[in-house]
Amino acid sequence: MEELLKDFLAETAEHIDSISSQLVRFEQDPSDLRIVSNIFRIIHSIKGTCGFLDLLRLGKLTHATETLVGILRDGQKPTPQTVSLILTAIDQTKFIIDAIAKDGVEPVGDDGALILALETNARQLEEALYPAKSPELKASELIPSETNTKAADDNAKSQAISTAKPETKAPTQSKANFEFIHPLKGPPPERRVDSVRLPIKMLDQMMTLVSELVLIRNELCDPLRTGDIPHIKGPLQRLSTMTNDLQRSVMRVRMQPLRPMLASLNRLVRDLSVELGKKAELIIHDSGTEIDRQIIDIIRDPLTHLIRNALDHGLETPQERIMAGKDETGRLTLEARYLSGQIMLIMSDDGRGFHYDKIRDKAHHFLKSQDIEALSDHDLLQLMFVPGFSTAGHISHISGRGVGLDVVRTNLEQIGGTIEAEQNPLGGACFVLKMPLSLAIVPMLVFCYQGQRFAISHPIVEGFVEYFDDTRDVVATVNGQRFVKYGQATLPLIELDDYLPFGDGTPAPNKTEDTASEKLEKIIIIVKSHGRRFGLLADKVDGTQDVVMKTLPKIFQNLPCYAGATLLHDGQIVLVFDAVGLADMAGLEALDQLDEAVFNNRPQRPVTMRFVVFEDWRGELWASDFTATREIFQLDASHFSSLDGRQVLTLQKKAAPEKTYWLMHADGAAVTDLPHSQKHCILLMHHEGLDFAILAKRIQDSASKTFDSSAVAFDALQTNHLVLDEWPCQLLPHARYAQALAQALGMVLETPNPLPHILLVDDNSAYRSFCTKLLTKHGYHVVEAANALEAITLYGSLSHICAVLIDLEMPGIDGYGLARRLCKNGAHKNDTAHPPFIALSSHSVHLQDEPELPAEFCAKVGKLDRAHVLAVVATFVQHYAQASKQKFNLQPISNDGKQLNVSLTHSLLNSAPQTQNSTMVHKVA
Amino acid sequence: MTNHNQPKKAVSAQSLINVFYDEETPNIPASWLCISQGAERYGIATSAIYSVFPLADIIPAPGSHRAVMGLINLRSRIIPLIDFATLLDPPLSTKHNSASWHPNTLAACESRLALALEIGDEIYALLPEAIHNIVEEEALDNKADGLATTERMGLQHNDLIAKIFQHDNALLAILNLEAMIAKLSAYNHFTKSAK
Repeated sequence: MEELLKDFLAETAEHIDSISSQLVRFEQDPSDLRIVSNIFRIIHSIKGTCGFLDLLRLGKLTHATETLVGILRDGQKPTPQTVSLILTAIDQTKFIIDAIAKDGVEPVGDDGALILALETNARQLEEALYPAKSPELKASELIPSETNTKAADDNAKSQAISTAKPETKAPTQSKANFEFIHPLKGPPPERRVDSVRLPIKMLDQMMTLVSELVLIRNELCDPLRTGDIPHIKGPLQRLSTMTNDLQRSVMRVRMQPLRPMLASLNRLVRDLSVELGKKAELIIHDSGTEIDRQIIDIIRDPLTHLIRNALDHGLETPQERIMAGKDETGRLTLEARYLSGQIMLIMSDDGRGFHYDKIRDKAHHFLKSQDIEALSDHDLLQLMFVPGFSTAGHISHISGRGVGLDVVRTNLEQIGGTIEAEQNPLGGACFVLKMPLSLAIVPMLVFCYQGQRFAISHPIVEGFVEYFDDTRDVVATVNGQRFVKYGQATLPLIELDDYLPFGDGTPAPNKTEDTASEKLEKIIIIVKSHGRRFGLLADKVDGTQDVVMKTLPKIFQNLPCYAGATLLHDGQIVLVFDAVGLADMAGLEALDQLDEAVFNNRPQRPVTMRFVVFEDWRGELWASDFTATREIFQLDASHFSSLDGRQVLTLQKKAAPEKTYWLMHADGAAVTDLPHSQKHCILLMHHEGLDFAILAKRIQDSASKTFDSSAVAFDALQTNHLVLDEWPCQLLPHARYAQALAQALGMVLETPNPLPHILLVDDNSAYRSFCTKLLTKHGYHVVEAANALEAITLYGSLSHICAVLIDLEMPGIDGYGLARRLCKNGAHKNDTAHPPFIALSSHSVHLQDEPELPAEFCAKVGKLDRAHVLAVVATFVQHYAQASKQKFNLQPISNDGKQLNVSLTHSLLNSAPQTQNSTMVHKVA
Repeated sequence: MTNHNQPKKAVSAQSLINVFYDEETPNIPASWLCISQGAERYGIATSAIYSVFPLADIIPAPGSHRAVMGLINLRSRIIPLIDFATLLDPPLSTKHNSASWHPNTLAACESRLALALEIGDEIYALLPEAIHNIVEEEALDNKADGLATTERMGLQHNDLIAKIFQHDNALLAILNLEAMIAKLSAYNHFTKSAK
């Protein structure tokens, strides 16, 4: 009996999960009677077995559920109330099943109220289903129904169920009733037993054995491949092929289709959308993708988080969607596909998308303004995975606490996966999740250190840096901690023998032949995991291998730097390092992870600053802030000339006008005479729009310094002295020099002017993309809106809009309507004139033939006339800047409209885009 | 090293019965495999012995207890190798206590016989100085209780010894394998505790 109960519970748990998603599908498409018939069969089957196993409570509940589902199967359309009722009954069924699985008996409780609700709803639907039928037919149908109901009532009184008593006629009559309504429907087909249940442990054991077989095959192949043994080669080849087939087959046993898990999310979407008063549907494109069942379990929670976020914040209410010209039902799309040995899951929605400005605002809690400005839109979105980061205006029980996305990322990283946020090109948000196909086989990077081979998970390896001993431009030491320069970043460097004993570096038996002592060049592996990036010094990288990870025995429990061990293809053992364990071992904090400590205004994280160290002509060392040092040159005397008794530097770069810079010594004194030298070392400095040049004798080095916090860094910099790499340096006060220079030139230094934001409103995503690129190329910052609603929201939140480009023909609220609304809103926003509204028309040729523009617009341009779009934008942005007395970083343009058109067209066709900096330099020069 | 006849796991009718009726037959005579370290003799319950095998390819595991010589591949299972001599020795004072798995030491160990032991649900390899014969319970002089606790108080590794019997006019210390693993597991390289 126990075995039967176990089988029943296992089978029921499997089926019951599928009911919820099937029911939601049926609610969306009531015409598909196959779905409801399937649900009916499942519930009927559960009910039948309940009778056999004396599960009275479960039997009563499933009996009532079956009655209601039966009416749906008869053709009655489901109401949301009916579906909710059935889902509740399914949940209750699951609860009882779980309790039986745990305790072996049904839990104590009463489902009377639920059963009554199910029966009441069934009666109501039945009455609605048969009102117009002939009296004879109705009578003939009602008899079994009444009998059925009576049987259920009787059952309730007698605490027994109809199926438990085969002699009771009610079920038979009920079945006759269904058959009468669906005469063509035959009895449910008998289920063929075409599968067996296996414990997962057994699958894992099979996988291990096969992996070991593969290793033995490899060991066998190597010596035989080199020897000339023809009669062995054939069988060996077959053995090899069969081993591969066996490995693939066993791998496939662990794989399960993603579809059932994804389909189970339908229920979540349905429940949340009802709760939030939104309309949403989940569209799944799974392409038959299969994945390791362990991974299925692991990614269920991340996907649930993403769906909750999308429904709570991403999708608009039906009213908002209609106003925005969208279908009132929001779409969540979940796409699964294979990608280079990985599974890629793309979850996107057609909601309001990411609000970059909100993210930027929130980012100020974590980062300095200049850091935020330096972030690309893509990088900005990745901030959302920082713990505690939430742009939600309110916290609900669904989302908004900022604990969702970081948990999602953590879960994925634990299995070697990644997640990235992207703006959906069609509007809305998009999350791209990548994960390995299987946890059984893990890709590993094998490397050598101190004569021994080790491995580290390959997906977390970000890159490599070649390193020659004593090469200072790659590795720098600050306060005893070594750092590696990787691109723009300075990352801590872990040298394993600082933390772990490695003997004398002599290679152990059967290990790598290349040792550190034989080769001076080394390689630094750049590792990124759980928000921490660091370099790991290795002697040599030995390639990657797909291996089976094995856990280490508990005597290694206090060595978290090891994730496990594995056997390589040649049968050798390697220890596998754990990135987080290594970082913890080295005491590395999550420098680029903006953790909760920062969020809670506790002491700030360490700040690392980079400096250029140079020597002046008096032999003194100076340190110049890296961020203020734009460029370093070695120039001959032809670039210098005398002006008003002081030396100036003249430079001309490609496709840019010649510019002149004031030249000064590191101590701020003007350079009156150039020292005698073939080449002069120049540091080009930039501060708040002003550029100037510093004359140096030679560049000594670049160095980083880590301060405990920004405040400590600030205090240290105020002293004007720093010790970098044991060199005492004076700090180059570039800000003070810039101010003095500006004063001498009669200029006033200003804080950086805001970039002009252009709001581009067009429902055509391809055009938005094209136009954004065009305008961005010419120095504007473009914010896109796909519809009127988005535009209204953005218009209200952006502070530096200098023009609004509006497509006149948009679904929902068109361009005219939008302009009227924006004007109205703008009047409330401030008292100044609104930014110029420029109408975008599809009819570029006959502009003059179109009706007169409403007063809200200042101009109309053909959408596809690039030069005209640019010219009109430039003209009106300039006018608006003057009229509103706002200062934008604008292109140096003429006030003459005609020349303006020509110059912009010329600029568009022939010249490289001018940057903000080049414009400012030009002004100074 | 005194590698006598390669010991075999004692298989008797009674032990087969033990497999099927373990709980119902508590009085089955026990047996121990004798190993020696210097002049001392130790016994390991034969029920814990998984295999006896010649060593090859020991891979160091930096940071582990000094008695852990490294990892070995035993029929595709990765198991740690424990050097019995180091386990019984007092800790060294050197910073990284790397003596037990110095490459030369490892090379010298290869082809020596080691015991694979099933302890809990894990397998460990133990490298003793020498492996001797199997001793049945009946052959012990004081099989009832072993030496009283008071008589063992002076032993340095009391925590690793479950019982001490007298056999052939010598002492046979029965190893507490679980305690041995617990001692190694408590070691923390980064705090250098439980050496």
